[in-house]
Amino acid sequence: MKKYIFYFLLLAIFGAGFGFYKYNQPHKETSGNKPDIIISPAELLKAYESDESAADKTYLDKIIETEGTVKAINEIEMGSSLTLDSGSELSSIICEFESKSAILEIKEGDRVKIKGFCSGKLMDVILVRCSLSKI
Amino acid sequence: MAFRLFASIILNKYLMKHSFLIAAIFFLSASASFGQRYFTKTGYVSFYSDTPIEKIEAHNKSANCVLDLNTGKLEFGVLIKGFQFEKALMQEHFNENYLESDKYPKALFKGQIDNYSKIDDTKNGKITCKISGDLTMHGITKKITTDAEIVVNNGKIEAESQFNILVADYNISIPSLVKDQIAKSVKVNVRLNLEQLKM
Repeated sequence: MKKYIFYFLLLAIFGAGFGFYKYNQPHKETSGNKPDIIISPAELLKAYESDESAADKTYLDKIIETEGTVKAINEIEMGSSLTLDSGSELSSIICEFESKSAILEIKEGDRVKIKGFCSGKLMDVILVRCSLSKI
Repeated sequence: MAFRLFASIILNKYLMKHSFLIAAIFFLSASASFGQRYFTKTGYVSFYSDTPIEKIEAHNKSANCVLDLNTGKLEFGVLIKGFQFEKALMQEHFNENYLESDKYPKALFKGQIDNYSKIDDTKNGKITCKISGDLTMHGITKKITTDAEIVVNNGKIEAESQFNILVADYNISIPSLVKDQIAKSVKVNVRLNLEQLKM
């Protein structure tokens, strides 16, 4: 009987430990992780404009690495955000960064390489939790 | 003969002048109506679920919005996968189990500002407006009505609104194991800095 209680307690401790680990599991980050797909801003936009649901199947939640010219630094209140030129006047690639300091040294016209999770397309294709890669 | 030629030259010149005038008027009126549209691609949306056990907050930095001051119509869109949570596990549950963002990637709002004619974008000021419209997410469309504060600031429009949505309204089923951790009514906060759409 004592043995069963012991096993039960052991299982409970493991269960609680696993639950606690899952609960506090950190986000998967783009920095330090290899990209799943490497694509140019123009190609990514084209894929979304020609068939959005097919593009969603290919790119959603994947780490996308893309290299392009900064069209604008967007003024936002939390974190930071920039727009990558995609050759189109109307639509671009918007890249969100979680920290306020992530792109302080970047300015309009700079050439950058960015990794981010694709979250889909509204007017623009949006990459979230981005990080800068060295060119 | 000479007179007729002369007359036709005069007429042609008059018409050319006139057509330029017509074109100018057309162009001016067109640009005036385009000038009344405001937009953003980097609107801020957050939501907040508060229970005694757990506070859950998520932020989205890339909401789209177009506001037409001529008609008071407003369109708003946000990507579900763009919401960032503090805890990865919550974000995973939100996307996979509750909002099913692979199936329903966007939330959209199409609405109308009631007293939009009171918004004067030529001078700075602040007014409160009632906005009502349809909010679509998780494949379900429901009417919502909310107050919004609209500030005109040097040719830009800042809009802010808070409203509550009931989780059950959007057919989002929350397992009984965690139902005490997630509020039945979620508070949504929207803040937009709209710029004039230049054509």
